[in-house]
Amino acid sequence: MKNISKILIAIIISVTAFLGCQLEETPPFLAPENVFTTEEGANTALNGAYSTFTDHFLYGADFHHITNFTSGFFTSGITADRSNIAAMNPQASKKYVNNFWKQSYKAISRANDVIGNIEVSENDGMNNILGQAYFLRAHLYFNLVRMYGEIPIRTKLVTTETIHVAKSPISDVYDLIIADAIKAKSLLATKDVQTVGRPSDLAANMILAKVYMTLAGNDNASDYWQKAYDEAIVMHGQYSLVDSYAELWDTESTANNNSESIFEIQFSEEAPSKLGRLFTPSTAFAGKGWQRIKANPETIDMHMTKYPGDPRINLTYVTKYVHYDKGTDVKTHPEVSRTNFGKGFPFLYKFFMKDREALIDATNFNYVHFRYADLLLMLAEIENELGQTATATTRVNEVLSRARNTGGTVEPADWTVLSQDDFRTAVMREYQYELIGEGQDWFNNRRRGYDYFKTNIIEVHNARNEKNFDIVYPDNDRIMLMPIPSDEINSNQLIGPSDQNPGY
Amino acid sequence: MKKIKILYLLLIFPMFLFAQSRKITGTVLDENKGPLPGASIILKNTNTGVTSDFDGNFSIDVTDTGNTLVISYMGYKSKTIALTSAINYVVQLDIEANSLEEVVIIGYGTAQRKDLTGSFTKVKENAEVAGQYSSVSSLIQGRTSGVHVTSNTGSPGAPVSVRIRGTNSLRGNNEPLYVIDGVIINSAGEDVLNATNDSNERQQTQNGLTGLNPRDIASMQILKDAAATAIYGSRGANGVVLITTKRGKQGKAQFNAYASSTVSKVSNTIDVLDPVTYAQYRNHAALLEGNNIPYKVDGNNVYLLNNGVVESGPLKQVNWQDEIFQLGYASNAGLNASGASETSNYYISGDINEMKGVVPNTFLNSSNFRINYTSHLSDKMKLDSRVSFYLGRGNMSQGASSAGGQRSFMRQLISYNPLVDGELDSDDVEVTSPYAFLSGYEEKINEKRVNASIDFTYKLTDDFKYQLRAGTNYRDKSRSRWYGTETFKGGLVNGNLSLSTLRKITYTIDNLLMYSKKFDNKSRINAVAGVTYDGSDAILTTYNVADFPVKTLKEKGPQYGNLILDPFSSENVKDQIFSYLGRVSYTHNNKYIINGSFRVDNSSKFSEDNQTGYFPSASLAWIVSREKFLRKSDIVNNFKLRASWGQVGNQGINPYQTFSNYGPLLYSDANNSTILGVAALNIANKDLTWETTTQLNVGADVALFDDRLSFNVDAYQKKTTDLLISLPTPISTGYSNVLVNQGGVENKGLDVSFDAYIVDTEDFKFSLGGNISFNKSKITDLSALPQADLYIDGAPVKASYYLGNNISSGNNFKSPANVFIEGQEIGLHWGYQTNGVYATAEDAAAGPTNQGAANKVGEVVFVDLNGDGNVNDADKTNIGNPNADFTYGFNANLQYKNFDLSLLFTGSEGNDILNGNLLVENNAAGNNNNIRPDAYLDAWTPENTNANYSAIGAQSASIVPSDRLIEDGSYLKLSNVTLGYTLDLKEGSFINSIKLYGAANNVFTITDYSGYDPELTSFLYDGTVVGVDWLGTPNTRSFVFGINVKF
Repeated sequence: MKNISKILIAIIISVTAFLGCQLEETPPFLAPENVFTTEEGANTALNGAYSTFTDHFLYGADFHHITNFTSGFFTSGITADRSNIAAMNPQASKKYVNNFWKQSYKAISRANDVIGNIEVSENDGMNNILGQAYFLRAHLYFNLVRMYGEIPIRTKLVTTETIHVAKSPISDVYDLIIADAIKAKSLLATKDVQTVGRPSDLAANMILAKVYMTLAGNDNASDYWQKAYDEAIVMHGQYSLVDSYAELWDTESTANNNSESIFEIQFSEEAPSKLGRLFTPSTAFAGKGWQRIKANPETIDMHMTKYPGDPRINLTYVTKYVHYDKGTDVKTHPEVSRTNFGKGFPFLYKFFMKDREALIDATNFNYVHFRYADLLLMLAEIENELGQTATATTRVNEVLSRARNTGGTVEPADWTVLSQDDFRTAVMREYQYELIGEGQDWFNNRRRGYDYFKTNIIEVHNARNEKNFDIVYPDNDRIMLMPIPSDEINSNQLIGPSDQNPGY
Repeated sequence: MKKIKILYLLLIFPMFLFAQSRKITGTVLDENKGPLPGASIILKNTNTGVTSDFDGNFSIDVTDTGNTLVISYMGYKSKTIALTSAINYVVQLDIEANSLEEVVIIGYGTAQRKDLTGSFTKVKENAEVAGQYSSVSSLIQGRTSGVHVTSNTGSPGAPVSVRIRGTNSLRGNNEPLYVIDGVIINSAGEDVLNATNDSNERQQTQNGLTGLNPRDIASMQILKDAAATAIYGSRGANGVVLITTKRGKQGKAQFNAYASSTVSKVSNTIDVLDPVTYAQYRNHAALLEGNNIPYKVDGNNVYLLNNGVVESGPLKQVNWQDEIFQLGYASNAGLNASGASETSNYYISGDINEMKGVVPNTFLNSSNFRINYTSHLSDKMKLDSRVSFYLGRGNMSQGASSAGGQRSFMRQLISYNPLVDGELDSDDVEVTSPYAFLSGYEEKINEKRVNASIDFTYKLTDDFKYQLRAGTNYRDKSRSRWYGTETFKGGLVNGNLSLSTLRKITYTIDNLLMYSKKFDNKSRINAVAGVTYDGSDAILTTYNVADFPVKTLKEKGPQYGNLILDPFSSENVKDQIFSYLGRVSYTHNNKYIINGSFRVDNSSKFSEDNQTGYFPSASLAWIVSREKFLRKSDIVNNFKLRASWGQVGNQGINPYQTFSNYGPLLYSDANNSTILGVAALNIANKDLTWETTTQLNVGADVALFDDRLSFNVDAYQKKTTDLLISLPTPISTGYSNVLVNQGGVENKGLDVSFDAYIVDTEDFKFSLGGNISFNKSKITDLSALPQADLYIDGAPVKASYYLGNNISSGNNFKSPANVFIEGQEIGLHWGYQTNGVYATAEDAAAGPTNQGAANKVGEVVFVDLNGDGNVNDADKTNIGNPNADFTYGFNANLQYKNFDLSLLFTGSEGNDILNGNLLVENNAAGNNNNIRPDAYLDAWTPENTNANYSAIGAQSASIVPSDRLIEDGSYLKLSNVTLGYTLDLKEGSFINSIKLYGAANNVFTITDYSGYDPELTSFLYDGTVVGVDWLGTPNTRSFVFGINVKF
């Protein structure tokens, strides 16, 4: 018995020796408690949300892929894309369709994390952070609702209980966007004190103006025009156009965060965008472009016909460049006859790689998503709808006058007063001449409904069909929306294949 | 962790003292001069008897009356020894026939094989065969039932996957737990982190089970049912592989030197268009597109056209696979020495391996070193220490691009343009050619590993033993990937280097109290109780940098990169498990055995409320052959029935998943300076706990004709609940997946194996062995997911389901290939049904639209299952089944005089493979990808309307998975043939024996599968991708010549 008790003692000793063991995990990662307690920490989380904007899947590249390919103004240099998404035939499993959605929601989730962890307070710094988070969220949902229609709404960082969320009606999404933008407007720092490179309260006005214009649609009697006006007019005179259109594109020092910039995504060589590669052919600079996004010939032809000699044409399109290896000229439309697919399309100068010798595409060029010239044209369109066509004309002329100043040319000449209908038709084209490729085309071209899109984009493009390799756009109103990505349908138990957008 | 208190217990059990006796000692050895535990030593004509201990040692008190010892052991010929005045006797028993009677290692202890109630399989191979395998896990392949091993030896360091009785977990890592000399090595699927956040770059899986020389293995036990594995608690659910390394044998020191050389060659290539036909195909495509034709074909010469003008001589015509693949060479040499004295034994081995792969510049050099030393410090104390070192370094080929296309070496090898303008070297061939990957890609691995354990056993009494074991495994691995500007990826950023390291130490501390007691030689109790603590502490770092003005230093100079793509990151990850365990086994009358075990695990990976798990098991066995009615049988010499029930867990997830983990991100300010951002990188799940597998097993062991013929049959049912699944989340969550405990899986199966010693004479021996395993898996519960409409076999049903991960990040296969449906087998292939190609424009117009777009003639006909006139995701159904009906292996061993021959066949029957490569290889897209001949020659054209393949340029229709990609993945392989010749030399000469052998591995494969190899290793540790070939690597056939010398 003595032995047995000793054995028991041995067991007890060895067991108790372990009882002091702590099995609690102390993760070597940051936790919300130490992120959001200080302004500096909260700002870091906000930077995390901004960082998502620079990702390849969003403004780094895929926003440009998806919006340009289906805007009606561009085609692709990649065969697979040319016969697919750039032929207005986007598939639900197409990577751009999925990636753009995915990354937008990732950015939303990061904005949600900031919003969920900061309360409105007396602290201006914290409020400004919160305001930016609301601004980013409004911006993202506004992109998504226009591109995908009914979408799931998520306003909190996801938990295991909220993984599956059904689609919401479009009106609910707009309610959220408007509410967020209004909060952003009140919380964001004013333009004079806001950190350079960050959106000020006026950037929220810009979103609201665009939201109301979109809601107004093609209905010139809509009350939304007045609401849009109230937002847009506040911004008038608060920004100024840079002297020369060239300053917007030629060098980083004048292009980045200039007086015209309203909302701009900050890129740097360390965290660059892919814009240069997307819009530059493989033979135009040492680092080789991807020549993915090329303009349809009719876009440049229209511009040249409307404003012959407009200095903006050469600052918008590349019709000729020097071959990097051979040193010879490579001509694109309209400099050379369109003999094959590789030759028939002009590149966009705006995002072209300016440094021929660069070994890689990393530059400090930012991506300006909202700029003042856009606001002036919006204001013109709104005022025209509100019957103030004369005032509206002065807004357009502000834009045209800067264009002329760029090269000291006659064109684009000032507008004289047009009828309301003629003005409407003309101003919609002005967006194309001033802003093509800058992320607004997809939305502007569809804002007034399918009939507008069909008449002014699809038919204009198809009329130009002259070669085997020219794409014929189908007459199909499903293209007003992108398909809901198959990655979402496949994994969201509350969104099934039957919830796919019509026509896909 | 507090200090472990070592127990000092001095206990003396009452002893019977015999009058006028003297004590003699001895050692019983088996046929290989290894210790034979459990042998019975009886003083003839008396009742006095003892049993040899684990090391074969015995001591017996001999009275003056008895002077003869009878030493017997089931399955061995008994020996009678006349006692002399000597005190110590070494007795070697000769084997009677192949025997089932032996002592085997079980979890936390040993047992006599006849006392086992669970399903164990022992793998034992001779050194020549073992030496041909670079990994322990591949050595198991084909040799046991219920175990399916997938391996591919095509590239050095390639991963191996071992599945014991099907797939329990839907999360991915279904690898068994490996226990080497009592120390848990949990690294089979472990690797460094992927250093790049480029979504096109997966990290190629590699074998995590390095550092054990197969020749050092004395025995391997595979524990399959819960009776055997429950003692490993929350980590036993995937089965356990127990490995014991060698020890020295009594007698004079023995040396064993060996060397071998291997030549290997790619065993299969993919047939693509020859260069001339390729040129015709490209011209054909250009004409259809309205472009100028690119080539002029003149007889067997092809010229490049520039605007219709020939500017230079004929183009070089290249078959890229023949051009790139070379012969691989490997050599292996080693020496081991072993021996033992009265009180100690040792085994020391060293081994060097050099392997050059079939892809130029790839290699893996490794060396192993081991010292095992056991010392009896006193009658009561034994110290057993084992240390092994491993060093490995190598260079891999690129094989883990998920995008395919020009980013992928494997894709380019098959699809790259076979017409080359210029010289065939990397300077002249453009970026993305296979040559670019040879000169522009390097993936270096470097690994060091130390395994060490100390095992202190103290005999408290005759029946009680206390054992303290402390073991550790230190692993230091680094991987670097260099993409030079020759490659597409490297060209984008002027050279790209990513570095990752893993430094991990795992430790085990076991405190065990063992009890074993015999009653009247027929009944015995064997028990163990213990407290164990083990854990790991790892540091994982990653760094990704680009833009190298000077590119010569590659992985040696990360500091010369201008552009930091992902900043240096270091994560310290720790986890611990603290457990109580116990097991009691009682054998009654040598006939009835009852066994029970229990383990309580506390795991740090789960939050406090979910930390503790209980894992019981109970089992019974009945040795029918000991019953009167069979005892006298001339035919049946062993017949045992077994039944077991138990619960085991699986907690193989990363730590910290119950928290939201914030990680760094980069943004820029207005001055173009980088500023830091952070974001929560996973969805926290506080409720996580382990998955639990409940297993029922019934089995029988039968041995006939003096063990000449033996069978094992086991039937099992395993039910896993609370599955840990990394469920793909809706991408609108902002995350791609979430780890949850959800649902259940059931595996039912039958394992059968047999061994037959057909001829067994002095000069000629012939034996056959075989095994076959049937396993049927079913997802029993996904009720946490709502029911949804879907199609099974084309018929509409309502069921809960989820889909696997997307296969590719590129355009061709950016969709899931597997579906997991409640009530169905695991991982069914998921995609569209098809029905040929549209023969006429009328057919195309009449067919359903494809995702809203109109069809063109010559495009693939996708079946519109729901009849809504449009084919989209809603029309997908199961199109294949990746689960095999059965897998099998059989072997034959033949020995004639000094020659011996062994053959091993392995196979799998009834599994489908979804060959995603066909999306590219069977699609005449009209771009510069080379394709399989039929895809062009039998493409739809206005002349060939009854075609099997879509029209040239019909691209949009073929980027999604469909039944056109499903192939039969059944195969039969002759995995290994070894022919040996032993030169017996004169007794007493310096060299005892020389053995020469030649062998061939992966000799042939009989399969209908058209890809490189039906053994797929590319998605091994991703549980949501099953039976999918995407950029799979070729396998190799190898020939070995080797020599073993004993002296």
